[in-house]
Amino acid sequence: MADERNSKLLITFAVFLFLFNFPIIGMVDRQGTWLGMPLLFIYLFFVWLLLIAVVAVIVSRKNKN
Amino acid sequence: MGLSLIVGCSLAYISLLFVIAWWVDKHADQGKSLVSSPYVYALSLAVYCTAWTFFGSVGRATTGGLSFLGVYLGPSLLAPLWYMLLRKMILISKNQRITSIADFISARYGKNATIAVLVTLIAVLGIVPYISIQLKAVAFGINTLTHFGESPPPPPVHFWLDAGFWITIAMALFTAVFGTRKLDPNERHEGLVAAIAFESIVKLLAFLAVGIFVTFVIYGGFGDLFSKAIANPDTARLLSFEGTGTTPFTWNILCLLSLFAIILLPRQFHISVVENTSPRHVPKAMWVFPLYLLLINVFVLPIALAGKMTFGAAIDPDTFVISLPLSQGAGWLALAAFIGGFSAATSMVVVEATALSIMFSNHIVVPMLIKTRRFGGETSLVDGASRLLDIRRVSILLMLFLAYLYQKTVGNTYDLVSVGLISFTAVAQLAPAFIGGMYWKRATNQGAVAGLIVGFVLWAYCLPLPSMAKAGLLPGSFVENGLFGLSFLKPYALFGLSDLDPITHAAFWSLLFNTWLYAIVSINTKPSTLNLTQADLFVNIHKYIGGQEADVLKREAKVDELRRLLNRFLGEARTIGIFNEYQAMSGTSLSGQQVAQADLVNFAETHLAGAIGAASARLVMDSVAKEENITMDEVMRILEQTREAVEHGRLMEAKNTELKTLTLQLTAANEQLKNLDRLKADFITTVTHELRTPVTSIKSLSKIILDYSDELDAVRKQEYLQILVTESDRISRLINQVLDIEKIETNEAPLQIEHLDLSELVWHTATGISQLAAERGAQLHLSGTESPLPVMADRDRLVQVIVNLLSNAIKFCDTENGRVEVQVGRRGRMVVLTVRDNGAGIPPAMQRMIFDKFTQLHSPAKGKPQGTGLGLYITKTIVEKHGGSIRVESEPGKGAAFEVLLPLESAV
Repeated sequence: MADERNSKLLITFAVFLFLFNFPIIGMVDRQGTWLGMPLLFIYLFFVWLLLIAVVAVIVSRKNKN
Repeated sequence: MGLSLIVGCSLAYISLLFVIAWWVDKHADQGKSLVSSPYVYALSLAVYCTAWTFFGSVGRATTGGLSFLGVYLGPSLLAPLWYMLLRKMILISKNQRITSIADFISARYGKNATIAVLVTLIAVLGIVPYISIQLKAVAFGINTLTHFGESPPPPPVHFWLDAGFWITIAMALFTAVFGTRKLDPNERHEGLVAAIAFESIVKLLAFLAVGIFVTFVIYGGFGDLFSKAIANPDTARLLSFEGTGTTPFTWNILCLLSLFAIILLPRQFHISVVENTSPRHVPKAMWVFPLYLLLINVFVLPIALAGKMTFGAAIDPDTFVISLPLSQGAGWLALAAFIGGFSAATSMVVVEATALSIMFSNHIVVPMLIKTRRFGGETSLVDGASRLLDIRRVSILLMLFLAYLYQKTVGNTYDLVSVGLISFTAVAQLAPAFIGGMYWKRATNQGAVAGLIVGFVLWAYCLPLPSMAKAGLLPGSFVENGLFGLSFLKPYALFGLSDLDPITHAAFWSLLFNTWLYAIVSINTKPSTLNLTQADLFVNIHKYIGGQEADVLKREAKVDELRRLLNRFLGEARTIGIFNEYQAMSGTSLSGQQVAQADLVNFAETHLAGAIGAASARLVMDSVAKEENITMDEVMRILEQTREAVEHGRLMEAKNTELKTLTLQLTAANEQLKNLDRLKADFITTVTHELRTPVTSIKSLSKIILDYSDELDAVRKQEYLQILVTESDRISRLINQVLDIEKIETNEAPLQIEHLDLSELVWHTATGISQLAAERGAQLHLSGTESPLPVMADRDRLVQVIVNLLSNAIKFCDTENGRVEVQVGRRGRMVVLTVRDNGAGIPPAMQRMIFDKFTQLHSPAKGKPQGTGLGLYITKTIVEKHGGSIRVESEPGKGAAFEVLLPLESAV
């Protein structure tokens, strides 16, 4: 069970490593806004929040078992 | 704003910290831990957010835009791996009683003293700039609060008039009080942790308050602020990486540096590993801590944009957090912001200085004292625990003073983040040795030393030395023209690599050569014995948890010397405690013992390591313990033996399971045999008993005839002779039947299968037996289908079955109105033979037994049992051999019906 959790977390790390990196960041690295906020700003914080949520879900799911 | 108000508030805040720490420590002394919670753990990890975060990020964002986020995304990105990495670090550290990052790395490479010194030097020298920016930030904050809107005051003539100096003194005192309150074997300071967690809340709330004020009070929300920033070309460029010149490589290096920093910074290691109360707190901290980082960073860019739009370039952007509220007349908010930044700075300084002082005293001062003074003499400088604490207090003061000097001379020319990143790059040099040590068993101490030295030298050459040259402390020519005039040695363009910013440039070269040398030297050197065992322990920590450290070191020491040694470092009370603990653990008594065995020496060393670090403890132990040198071969043999033993054990277990099943099978077989044996014995007993009865009567009657032949009349003689014939018949019948059983049971006479018609066979047999029926006065009735009933059977055996059943029926039917009905027919795919009599019937209890051997029915009319008791058993056996079945239905007084079922020929 711990192994499975480890692999999930490892995959999370790998996925977000790409999301927080070029060239994906380059795709939103331009002038323009979304909901009144600059694209890069909203992208970085949104992905960051997503990372936190994913880790929280993986970690707390195990605790219930 | 008056200076006295600011100082008063700061002092009040510090007093509050004192109260919290004192209160928590008091509870900790009573055994109640108030900080053992995943949330406190996550909050204390937020010591990562310093004045750099609080003031510096805003300043950095005014030039670098969003690139400042790399410093927080790196740690957040690493968070998912904490489950593997951090927990492993904690387990190793608890197992080895590791108290600092230098301790950790040196312990991994065979408790190597050189590595401990190297890591300590890198950490202390690398972190000094980092501490200096905390002092600078506080001084800046005070300056902004007191002199906002005025032209900057002339610098003070004497250093004691400088606010920064007094801040340094105050912080040093606070650190000394809480960081070195007592000599804890595990270096745990609960009061400190509580104060840090509290400070994390304060700085977060203060920053959020300023952010909300700027975004929603000065401006009309995010949309308003951003749209105004986009309209201004000077601020619009900050909204993308492109506009600020942040290249992918710069971004990657920044993320990587901060990713290393979150585990390698001495204060982070101290809080996340040494002060950790339980590895169970890690999972929750894995998302709470990144969430904290996210919250404290949301408003950085808005504040930076607002500051830039409000002040332009008139004010140092590192002070925007305070000057923006001041510009709007919100003095109290500015004061709150200062307290927040002050809290961020103090938390960093306190933990960092504590962690560094532990390293400094354990790995540099203590080994030096041990080496210069022959340790063990009465004039020893290191005398007891209090002396050790004094060393730490002095080293804290020393480091803070160093930081103060750095800030005064070099730091003033750079912004906060630039100076902080110098420290990050220094600490990152520990990464190869640290991470490699945890996952790569082959890494040797020579490799680690080589990597650390080259990394440190390159870092020093590319970052702090040029900055010192710029401050005028060194001649500046080597920066311009390269060392010795060699242009490829220019510190900002090493080997001609010129298009990177200094931090990225230095980080790239130093980490590259560090890692290369670490790997190359490692695979080309042979690890020492101790290095090998420690490597195995670090890489495979899960193997060792719960168990004792692999007992490879065979050392002996005199118990008295050991006691004196521990007394000196740990004090008498703890020494007695350790000896008692050992006695309880090993179940031996030390009172009469002269020589301490290896396990006691190791036990003492581990405890000593908690106080003075692994490398120093080892050095101290060497002074009293004689070590029997173990060769490499011997170690390999020990390891090999262990592996063989494990392999052997696994094989044995498999064999054992096999044996168990075999034993079970044997037991079952034996039980069966015993049963059969008993049956056989029963059988023989019964047979001989059955034979004896007729033999006895034959013998006695023959004797009578022989002895009294003259006196017996003809009738009587006739009668006796008849009995003799009957009894002889009975014997021969019995013998025949026993032989039959033997034949049938052992399959000696296989069935002579042929095509038969049951109808015809029954009719034929019944005709033959009707004479017997007539003699007994019984009527035989045959009924059933005319059509042939084909079966495949042995003719003689089947006749035996029919005869047995018919003669039984005739024997047991009513004596006066005897009537036997025989019926044949088919039922489905079977043929049925039913033989019904009108006798006394069979009691229900007997119905199940009559097919067993030697079960005889007592006919009430005839008194003694008739027959041999084998007939029905033979019948049943024959029927079953033919694939059929037999059963009986009976009610007492109403006769019995035997029903034989045999498969129809077509069905066979």
